Amino acid sequence: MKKISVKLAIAAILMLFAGSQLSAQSINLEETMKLRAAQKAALFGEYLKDIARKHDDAGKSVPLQERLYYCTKALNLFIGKGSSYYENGVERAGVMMETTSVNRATKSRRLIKNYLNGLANLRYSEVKIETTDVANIKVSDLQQIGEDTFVCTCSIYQTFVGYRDGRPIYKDITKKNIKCYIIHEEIVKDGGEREHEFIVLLGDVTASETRRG
Amino acid sequence: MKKFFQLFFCLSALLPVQAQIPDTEDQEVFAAQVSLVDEFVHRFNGEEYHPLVQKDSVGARRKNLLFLLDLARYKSRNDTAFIRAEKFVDKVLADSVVLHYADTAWLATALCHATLQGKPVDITLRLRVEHRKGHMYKWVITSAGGDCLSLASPKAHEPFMLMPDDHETNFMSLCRMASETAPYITDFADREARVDALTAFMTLVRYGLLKIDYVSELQFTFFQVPGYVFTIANTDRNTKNTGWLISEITAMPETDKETLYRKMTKGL
Repeated sequence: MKKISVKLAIAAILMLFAGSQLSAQSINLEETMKLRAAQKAALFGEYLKDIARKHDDAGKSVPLQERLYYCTKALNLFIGKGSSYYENGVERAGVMMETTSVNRATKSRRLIKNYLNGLANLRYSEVKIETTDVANIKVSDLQQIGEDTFVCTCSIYQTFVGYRDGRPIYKDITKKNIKCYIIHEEIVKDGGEREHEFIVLLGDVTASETRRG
Repeated sequence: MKKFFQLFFCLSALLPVQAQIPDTEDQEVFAAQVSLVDEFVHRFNGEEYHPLVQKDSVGARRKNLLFLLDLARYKSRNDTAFIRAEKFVDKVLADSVVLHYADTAWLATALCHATLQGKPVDITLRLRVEHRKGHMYKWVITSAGGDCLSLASPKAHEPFMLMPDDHETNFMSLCRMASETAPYITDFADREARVDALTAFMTLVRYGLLKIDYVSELQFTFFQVPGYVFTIANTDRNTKNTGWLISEITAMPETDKETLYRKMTKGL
């Protein structure tokens, strides 16, 4: 649980940063929004790592309950928290996660909550996932879709290694594109100073270019 | 493939090497990869650079554009196709061509794996960017293609017809036409009628008969370079020449470009 506290602290700082009020004076708003999106995508990557791994750094077994806890934390990053949401006036069943495999030619898609549950319950003795760190995440240009709402895409790569009895038996490297929704709010304070707040929510995740590691 | 690597390393050996992105080889490949279409546009416009190109070096812009070519398609620097590609690059520089998202002069072609009444079919959709209002845009479908959308008759046959005296029986034959000879429906239209594939596509989707399972291939065609049309596609290689790269360059007079654009957008 000590590890959870540390992770919680990091997550809290990042979330606070993501929703923090910023002075508009010397900041390029678009670059700031893109940075927020990258931070959210990076946080998702961190959660994937924690959902998948069966043992901590000390070799101690991580209970399923703890991995499922991180599933919930990860779902909170997504629009609709992984459940149904409205987009363009249409109700969607939930954010979709596309997956690929070096053993399969076609891609499959699942609701993000089902994907994360499946990840927590994989039948390897150990799973290690690494994703791009925030500094190297690529972010597309922002596109405005509503008065204060923007979308962009974060591109990351993910390395997945599955172990059985200490030996790696499966490894792949996949490029993933994560859709991000950014809601921008401008707040005018008493003195007339304008501050900006951003809410970032993740959307559908597409996968491509899976190759053996 | 061996010749591709020779060409790639020849090209990169002439470049002053920038400080590399640290960490794993995979991260270096990812940094070099043109991961997003936006990234392709930014590199094309000289707003971002391939990690192996030093921005302030002589000829940096040209080298950056050359790195947007899918170099595996060329045998060597002396390959006539590569020489033609270099001319294309020089034209981009000479005319200071810049790509913009909001341009109507670029099209997406999506090859879709779909299901029509339970049977797998392939559908091609062409899309372009359309302005909504203010700074907002959207993608719109301009044309569709695919065997199942042509409504062609399933087999060669003597054409069916509505009888010349059907007007006297209240055109009861129309009921038969829509049931007994439904697969041959195009026989019953006038000789100048043409099937609009996009309307056929929308009708099938509207009534739940056609579902798109996934996009199996995606490419983008650009018309902005005077005298040329070029296409980009996503390549997957574990090298520093990978991602969204120029897969095809065609020299073309402007009038032919207009004809091609109309054909691609209107299916004409």
